[in-house]
Amino acid sequence: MSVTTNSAITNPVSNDEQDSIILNRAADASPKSALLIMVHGTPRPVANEEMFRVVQVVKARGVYPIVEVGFMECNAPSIPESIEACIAQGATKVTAVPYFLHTGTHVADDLPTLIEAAQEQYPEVEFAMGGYLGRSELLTDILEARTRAVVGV
Amino acid sequence: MEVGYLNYSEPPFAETVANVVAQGATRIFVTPYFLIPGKFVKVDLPRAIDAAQSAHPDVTFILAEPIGYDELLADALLKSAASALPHTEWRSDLVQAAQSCRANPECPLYGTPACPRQPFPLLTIQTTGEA
Repeated sequence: MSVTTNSAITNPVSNDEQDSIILNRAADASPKSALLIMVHGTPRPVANEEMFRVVQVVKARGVYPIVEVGFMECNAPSIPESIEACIAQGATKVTAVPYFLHTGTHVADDLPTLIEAAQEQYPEVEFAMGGYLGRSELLTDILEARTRAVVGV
Repeated sequence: MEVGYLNYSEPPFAETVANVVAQGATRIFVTPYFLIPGKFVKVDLPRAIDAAQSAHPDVTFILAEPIGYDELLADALLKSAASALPHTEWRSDLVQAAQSCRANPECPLYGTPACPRQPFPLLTIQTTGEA
């Protein structure tokens, strides 16, 4: 059985490299970029659990120092409240992504209206919006997997 | 493979079932195109399947899970955020949706300035002004 030295475990990179990693992370975080995930909300709050698991994965990827969820209806926090939470954490840029499959009223009109209102309220913050989730081709893979699970092929 | 809707969109679920049965289907796999197991998946869809089962007693219905949790959704979210839309395109979906919808009084957009089927001046300005 081979023995690995402690230094290799605790210091996989040199101190200089560590400093550089930390500095780079600090650089990434300034200006502070927030990801706002805009979710419909449900009268059956337990149904949000799987969405929150997806959000945990997004957080773990470490791309955005701030990640918040805001609900259009039914659940809290609301989208304006979650925007406030991003800004309270020092966000200077907020990128909002609709956790929606379809271009209904919410995606087509309500969500842009909310982000525009936030832009007006916080002129010093930069707001951006991404396409809704249903636009992603990855959805095709997920649907195929769900179907295959019951078809048994 | 067919699509059926649980709300006001066309074609409704029951019509789609009738359609695939007419094409000779004896087993129907139903995959919910829903992100979470909310009211539509847990209440409305089972009711729709029960009704379809009564209407077509010889057909077997097999229900799959909704989208729910998937690591690919995290990838999709981050990709979407990385290619954020310019402000002028935030409402472009309204225009695109108009290509495949019809004026339907049951649609929540119907009769509102957001309805792409109504020639409201606001939308005309938005679509032509940014072209």
